[in-house]
Amino acid sequence: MDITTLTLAQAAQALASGECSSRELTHACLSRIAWLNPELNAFITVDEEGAMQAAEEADLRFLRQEAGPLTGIPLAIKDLFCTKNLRTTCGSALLANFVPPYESTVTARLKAAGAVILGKTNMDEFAMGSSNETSFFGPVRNPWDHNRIPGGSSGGSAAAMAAGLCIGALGTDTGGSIRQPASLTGITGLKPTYGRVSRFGMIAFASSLDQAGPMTRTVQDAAMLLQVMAGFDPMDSTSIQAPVPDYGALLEQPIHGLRIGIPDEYFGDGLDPEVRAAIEAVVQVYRDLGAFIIPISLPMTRHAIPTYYIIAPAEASSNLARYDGVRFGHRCANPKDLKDLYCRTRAEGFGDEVKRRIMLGTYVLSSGYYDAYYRKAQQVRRLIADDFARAFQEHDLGVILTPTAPETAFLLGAKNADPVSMYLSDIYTINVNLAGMPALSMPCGFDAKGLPIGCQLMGRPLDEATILAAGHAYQQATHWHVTRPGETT
Amino acid sequence: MSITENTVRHVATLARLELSDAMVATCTGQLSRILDLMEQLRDIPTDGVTPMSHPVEMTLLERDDQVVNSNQRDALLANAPDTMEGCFRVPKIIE
Repeated sequence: MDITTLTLAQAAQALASGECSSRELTHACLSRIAWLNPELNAFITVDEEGAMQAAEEADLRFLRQEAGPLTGIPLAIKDLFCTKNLRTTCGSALLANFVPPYESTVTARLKAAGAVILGKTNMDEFAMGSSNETSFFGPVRNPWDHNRIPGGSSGGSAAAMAAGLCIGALGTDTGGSIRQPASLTGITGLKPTYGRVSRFGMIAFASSLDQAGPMTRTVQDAAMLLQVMAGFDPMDSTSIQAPVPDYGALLEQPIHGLRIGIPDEYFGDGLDPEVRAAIEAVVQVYRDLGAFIIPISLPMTRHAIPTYYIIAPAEASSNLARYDGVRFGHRCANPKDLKDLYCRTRAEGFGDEVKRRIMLGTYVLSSGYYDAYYRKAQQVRRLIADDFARAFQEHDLGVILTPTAPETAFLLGAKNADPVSMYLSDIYTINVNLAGMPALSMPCGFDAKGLPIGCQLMGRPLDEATILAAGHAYQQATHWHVTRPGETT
Repeated sequence: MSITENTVRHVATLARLELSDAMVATCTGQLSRILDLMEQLRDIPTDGVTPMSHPVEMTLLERDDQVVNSNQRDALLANAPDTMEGCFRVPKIIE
C-alpha cells in the first residue's frame, strides 16, 4: 500500500493503531515531493529537517498516549501563513528572504495538535490570481495535465494535495482561492465563514474577505482540520466569539429532507456544457438521497465581479502600503531619498498583477472617485449579502448548490493577456466572500479531457456543519474524490 | 470609462510605484477595461443602502491593559534591510 494515498482520516487511524509511524508517513510524503515537485513546482520551501523532527515528536506523543486526531499528520501550508523561523514569501520577490519572527494562529494550533509541517506551498503573488501564474517562484502545474494551471491562488496546496505530496493542506480564500483550485485539481476545499478562523499571522490581501481553510481529499478530512483551526482568537479582532461545534459528529446528520437551492443565475452563458452536465448529475444524486431541490433566484449575482474588483484592490492597496523597504523585505539599491526608496523598492519587489491591483485600489479610493466606486461597491456588497440571506430564509434552505468554476483547468498562459478574462474565473465563488458565508468545493466528475469538475455548496453564516454533512453524504454515494491523477511525469 | 496616461502616472505616485513608460501604457489600457466592467454598478439603485464594510456585525472587544509582549527588538530587526544601533535606517530625510 502506498501510504500517501490515504485520506487524512485513514492516516490518523493508521497512526493511532500503530500500523505506520509519523516518521514513515512523513518520509513517504517527502520522497514524493523530491520526486514530483521539480516538475509540479507545488512547494516554494520544503522543510525536511523540521518535518522529520516534528514526526519524531509525534511518534513519541503516541507512545505517551498524548496524541490527538491530527498528531503526526503531514501537512502542506500555503506560503501566506507566517511560520516562525521558516521562510514565508507570499509568492513575492519582495518577501523572498522574509523569515517571520512569529507564528500564525492557525499553524500554531496545528503544530500544538501535533501536525507535521512539510513545507510552504506556491501561490499567486500576495494571493492575487486565479491560475498560480503570478508567483515570483514560477507557475504550478496541474497534476492532471502538466500543461494546465492548477487554479489559484492556493494552486500549490491544491497540486500538492492532488498529487499525494501531503495528507492535508491549508489554503486561503479571498475570492475563491481555496475553492477554485480545489475544483480544478479534483480535491475538496472549504472556505469557512468570515471570522470563523483567525487571520492572525496570515499575510493580508483584502482584510474583510480573507479567510483560511482546509484543502483535503475528502469532506471528512476538511472537517477534521477545521475542528482544530476554528475558534475565537484574541489576536484577531474580527474572529467570531462563538462555540465551535463537533464537526465530525455532525457529518453524519441525515440529509433526507435537506432543502437545496439551485440559483438560476449560476447556470447562464459562459458555463461549460460539460460542467453543467456534471452539476446536474450532482443534483440527481441529492434527489436520490432524499433532499428537496428548490429553484431560486439571486438577482444580484452578476454584480459580484465588479464589486469585488473594487473592494479587494482597495483593501489590498492599503494593506500593501507596508512594503516600503524599511522594516522587512526587499530594498532597492542606492536610494537617493526616501521617496525613491519607496518607489523603486515597490517597483522591483511587486509583479505586474500586484501592481495592477494596487493601482486600481489606489484609483478607486482617490479623491473624487471614492463615492462613485468604493462607496457604491460597499452598498452593492450589502445588496449581494441580502440576496443570499433572503434566499436562505424565504425557501428555508440548508444549502445552495452551484458549479465552483465555469470551466475546467485551462492551459498555462491562456488568460495572461487579458486580466478581465482571468477575473471571470471567480464568477461563482466571489459572491460568497462578499457575503461572508461558508462554502466548499468537492469533486463531482471529469470532462472529456479527463480534467476534474467541482461542485460548490454554500451555507448560512457559521453553518459549516450543514455543508460538510451534505458534502460527506455525497462522497459516501460517489467515488470522484478518490480518483487520482496518473503518475507519469 | 477610459483614463489617461497622466491619471495613471498620478495614481502611481500616490501608490509610491515607479512605473516604466511601457507599463504606464499597458496599465492605462488595462485599467480602462477594468473600469468599464465596473460601470455596470452605476445603474443599481442604492439610495439609503448602508455601505457594508465588513461581513460580520460585531463590536470590538476590549482586553485588559496588560503588557503581553516581551522585548523582541532584535528578532524584529533581523528582517530589516538596514539597521543601526537598534533602529531601522533610511536615507536622510531632512537636508
